[in-house]
Amino acid sequence: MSIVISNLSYVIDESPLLQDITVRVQSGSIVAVVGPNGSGKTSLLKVVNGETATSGGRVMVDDEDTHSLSLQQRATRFGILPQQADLDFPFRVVEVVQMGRIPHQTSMRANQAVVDEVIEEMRLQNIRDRVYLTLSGGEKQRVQIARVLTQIWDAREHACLFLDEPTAALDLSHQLALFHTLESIAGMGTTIMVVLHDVNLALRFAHQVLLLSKGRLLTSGAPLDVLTPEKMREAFEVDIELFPTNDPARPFILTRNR
Amino acid sequence: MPRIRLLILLLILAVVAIASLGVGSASIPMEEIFFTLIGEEYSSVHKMIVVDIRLPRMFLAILVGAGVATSGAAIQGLFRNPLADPALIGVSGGAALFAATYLVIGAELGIASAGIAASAFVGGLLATWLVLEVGRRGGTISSMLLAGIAINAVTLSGVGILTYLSTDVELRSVAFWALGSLNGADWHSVVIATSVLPVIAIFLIRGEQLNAITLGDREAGHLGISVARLRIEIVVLTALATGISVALCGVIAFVGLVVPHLVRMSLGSNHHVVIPGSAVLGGLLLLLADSLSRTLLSPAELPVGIITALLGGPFFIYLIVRQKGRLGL
Repeated sequence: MSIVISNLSYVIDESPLLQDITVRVQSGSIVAVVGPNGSGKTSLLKVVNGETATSGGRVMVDDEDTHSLSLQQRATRFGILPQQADLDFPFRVVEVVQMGRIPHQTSMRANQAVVDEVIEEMRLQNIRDRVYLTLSGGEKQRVQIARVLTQIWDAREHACLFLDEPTAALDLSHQLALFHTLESIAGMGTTIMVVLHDVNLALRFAHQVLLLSKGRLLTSGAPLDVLTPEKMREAFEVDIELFPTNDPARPFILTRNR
Repeated sequence: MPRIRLLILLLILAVVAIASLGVGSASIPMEEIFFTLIGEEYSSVHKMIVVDIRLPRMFLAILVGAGVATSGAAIQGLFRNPLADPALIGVSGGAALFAATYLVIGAELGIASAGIAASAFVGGLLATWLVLEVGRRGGTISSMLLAGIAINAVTLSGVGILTYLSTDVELRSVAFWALGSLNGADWHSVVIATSVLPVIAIFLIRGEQLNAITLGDREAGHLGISVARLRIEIVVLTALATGISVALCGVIAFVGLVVPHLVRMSLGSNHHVVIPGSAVLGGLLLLLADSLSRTLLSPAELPVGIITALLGGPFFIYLIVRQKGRLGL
């Protein structure tokens, strides 16, 4: 799904969390949302997916206003992973993943097939029947991601994923695995907006980077055009340096001591 | 697997139910109960005890236990709060106060007694609304629980005051409202109590939505569920089941807290299993407690709420200790 955001603003208690954001996102792209704490990344995701009303401007998803979609319509098209999930009941892992099928009217058999596929994709087979509460932080995160993927798995050609810091609790190998999964899903047409703190992940996997600062869109574009020393200094007030790797299109970013 | 365990539980309930007909101030042998039930007569006194007293009492215990336990399960899921129990958060207290008030006014005006359940429902609903409102302003789980304690205290002293103002014999018994008893069971009350069955059925139909809401209100919304509507529905149904139970048997504490926990521990958290499991185990637990209550000090009777509180109190403490740090207290 393509996403067109025009003149978007979001004000809460008279403090503007988002101001005048205009950007276009192509169908099937991975869009990294980057910016310092409190720059409006989470708010942007919430307003774009229609969970929160705008204070001005609008968001069109495939020519439909995201805020005119019903709860049910949103649930079958958008998979949303919040920053943190609190689940305090002893569900089994497979039961949590199955909840992703709640919005769908598909048969039990079809649902189970989707759940099995996603569990394999997220490499959760060996903890499939464990109780969620006994899992580590990273394992819980992967289960929640699997639940969100399950929601849109059979609609990958026309779906959106909104992931708020999905890699926060993941180890290196699972970070990579997740982005390989995201790449393949995006290849099928799913548009993915993902909040990231790790700029190297953004550099390596994103097709487009939105750099936010104080509720404004500082710049947007290809990773190497956005994650430059100048713009990073403006947004984060840190100095960065780009080191070349084997792949000239994918340098490595390090922060520099002052 | 959970399905088989549910069936076993149901079987145990059936056995205990039949056994419960034999116990009480007059002990009746099993074979006599069997022949009485299939219509053959041993002694007319025993037949009267079984058919007019113990049989309705057995059904009432099962229905009320099921209603209270499933209400606890539903409201715990709804608030993602393992300590929510209609009796602990003041819903039962509100129901008791309104039922007692109705009795006093009704006695003066001569209104039909069928309205007791209705006023208990209204009282339960008001108490729930109050608890929710305080909880919303306080913003934490603990403020909701504390509000429940306060409402419990106020409503039960309200009932206390009413019992002193009233001359009505039924109302004279503070113990009935505060501690709960199945003593007044008759077929009429069983008929009223069957109205918990549709409530349980709706809880069951909403099982998937209750599952989703344990993930969080936002997450449930992302799964296409209208959380506000679900909340109103569950709160009203809970008040209804609690109101009916209180009107018929007074406040029966802790069943709504203990039973869903035991069910989750043994059958998992899926509400499609938790709801029927709580219904069966709730009925079983109250039936056992009631059988104990009428044999322990036979021929005298303990209020059944004393037994459930004796079992439930320590369990409540165990939950608090086990869940430390995760309740926001």
